[in-house]
Amino acid sequence: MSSLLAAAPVLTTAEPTGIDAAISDATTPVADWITSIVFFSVDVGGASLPLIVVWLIVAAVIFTVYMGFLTVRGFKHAIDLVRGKYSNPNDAGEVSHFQALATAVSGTVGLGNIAGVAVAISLGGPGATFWMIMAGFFGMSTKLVECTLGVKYRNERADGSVSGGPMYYLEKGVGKVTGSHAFGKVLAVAFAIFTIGGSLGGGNMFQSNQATAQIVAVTGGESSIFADYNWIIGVIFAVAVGAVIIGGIKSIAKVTEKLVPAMAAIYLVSVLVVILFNLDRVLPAFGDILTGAFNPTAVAGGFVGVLIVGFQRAAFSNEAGVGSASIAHSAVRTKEPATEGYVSLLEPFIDTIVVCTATALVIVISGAYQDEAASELGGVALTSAAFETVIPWFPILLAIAIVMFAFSTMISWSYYGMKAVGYLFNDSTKAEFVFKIVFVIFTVIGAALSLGPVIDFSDSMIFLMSVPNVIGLYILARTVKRELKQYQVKLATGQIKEYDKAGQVVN
Amino acid sequence: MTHDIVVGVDTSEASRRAVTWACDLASVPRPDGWTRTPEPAPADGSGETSPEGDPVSEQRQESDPAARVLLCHVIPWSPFSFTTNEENERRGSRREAELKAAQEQVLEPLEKLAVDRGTSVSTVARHGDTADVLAAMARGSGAGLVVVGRTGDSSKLRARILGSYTSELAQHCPVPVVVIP
Repeated sequence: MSSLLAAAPVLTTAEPTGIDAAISDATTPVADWITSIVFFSVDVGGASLPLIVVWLIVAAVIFTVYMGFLTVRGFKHAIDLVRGKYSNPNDAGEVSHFQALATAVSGTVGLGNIAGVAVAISLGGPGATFWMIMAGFFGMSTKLVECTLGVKYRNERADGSVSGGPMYYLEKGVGKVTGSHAFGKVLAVAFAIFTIGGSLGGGNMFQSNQATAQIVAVTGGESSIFADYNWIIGVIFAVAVGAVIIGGIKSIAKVTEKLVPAMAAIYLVSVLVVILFNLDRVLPAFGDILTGAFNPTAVAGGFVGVLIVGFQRAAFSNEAGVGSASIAHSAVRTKEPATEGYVSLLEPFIDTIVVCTATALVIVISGAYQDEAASELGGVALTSAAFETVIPWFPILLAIAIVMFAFSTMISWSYYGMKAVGYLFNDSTKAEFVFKIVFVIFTVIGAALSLGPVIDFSDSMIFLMSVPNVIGLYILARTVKRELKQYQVKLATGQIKEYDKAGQVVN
Repeated sequence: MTHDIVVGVDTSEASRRAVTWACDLASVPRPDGWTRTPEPAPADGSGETSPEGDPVSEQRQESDPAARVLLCHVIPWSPFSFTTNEENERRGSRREAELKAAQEQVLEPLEKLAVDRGTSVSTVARHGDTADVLAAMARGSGAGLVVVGRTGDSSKLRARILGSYTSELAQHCPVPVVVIP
């Protein structure tokens, strides 16, 4: 999803007027205040380093080392799990590993992969790509840890439905390990509250804001008939989202779930087309990325500056450590929580290492970032301009893709928010209903606001989720290691059965 | 391989004909000395049979070498489809409900049909791709034949676009496939 583009222009709309302005004025001061706390930064060699980014990256590196680079060693096993090699045919009809992964990925792939990368490169040069890839690699370990825990401590209700995620492992897991149930509960409640904020912010307002801006841009920019009526587009989004989450209209969600993978595929094919048209520039592009990573020219803060930019965008894009994916993954039916850990490590790989790198390559080989005017565009516009050099009609396709990605992210995050509300209010359907109403109202607000406050608020809430979550992950790291260890032993001794296509045990 | 027969069934008329045909075949004496001794229908007469076959029925084959019929209903499902979080959350309970509905609405009426004809019958409902599951069932149970009705539940248009599962089954199945019109 989220991309969270703190302090960087993405798509700026005209200064709001009328109703848009009224909504904007009322909410901006609150957003500013929250942002100043969450994004407290220190100055490192002339570059501003938000401590929250350090928090996520340090955790990711520690988990990678502590789990013994399992993300590398276990990569093939993760793919085998997704392919269904270890799925018992008698369990057919349950949520498969592939489905859990696809659901979680559709919540993270989106604007971050399109706009976030462009922001990183326009601020940090091609070298930022290298540090994004590194951060994505380390983030795989954080996902592995949080998704294993999500399954291990999930709640299974009498009717067979399941609820899992950081709320549950923070309360039950941390409570057990530290011996203080109250401490676990405090972390869990804090996480749930921030999740509601993240759901309304990055998962909703930011999405509807960017989708609206994109619609305005392709319908004629400031001369667009929607230019002064962003909230009308917001209302249309709100009706569509409401139809799915309140009205329970499955067909809309179904269509989205089918279109998003198609959009992602079209996007990657477009990347390949651009690369094929510029084959001779691919190697130099990689060269630029590598030399830029260690010897950036004209980047504020030099080496440290480019590193920070890359890390920040990656963390914003793949959500490792935020805890959201853990909610999505816990619905899978597996006897071994470790399997879901393995599968989830593919998420930052797909999101950051594959899709973000693809976008970065296009921007670097097209040279669009070197164009003064284009780099001023930043965000979506820069990506769009880069593709346009080879595929002239790409901006329209990109606009459709952004609207689809935004919509599916809103649906995913409405679910995360709803589960957080469910946790706080004991699965009360009344509370969940109120939340859904609030959610669609925020969809309209997001469309009407100017971008700055929306991004800041969105970033803040999503990053706040990582505070209680990562504290819990440190405390539960030993539990995860034991869980993984016993699974690996079972795997080595053949207790985990492998099945061939005909459903016969092969080992 | 045995003379047992796997019958792929749904709610169609062709499925009824397939079951009837399979039951008749099961009662035919075989050249290798297998004869069918008619026996009263077992009291319980239902329940899932493990595809591997259980020791009790292996023994019975010597005294009562009747070919058995396995009625199999496949609920269309793919592990590689795209789902939403809400669907995933309730998938477990929905799966149970789907299996129950398959048992009650599809398998039980056809099972009764077979029992009435004095056939030794068992039933199974499973999620997956129809052709794949039927082929796997034949392989797993050691059955010597798969019988399916021709039309099935899917419409002509659907069959035109997606191809019919019967032709797919014929291509993948390890044993002969009989299609009943």
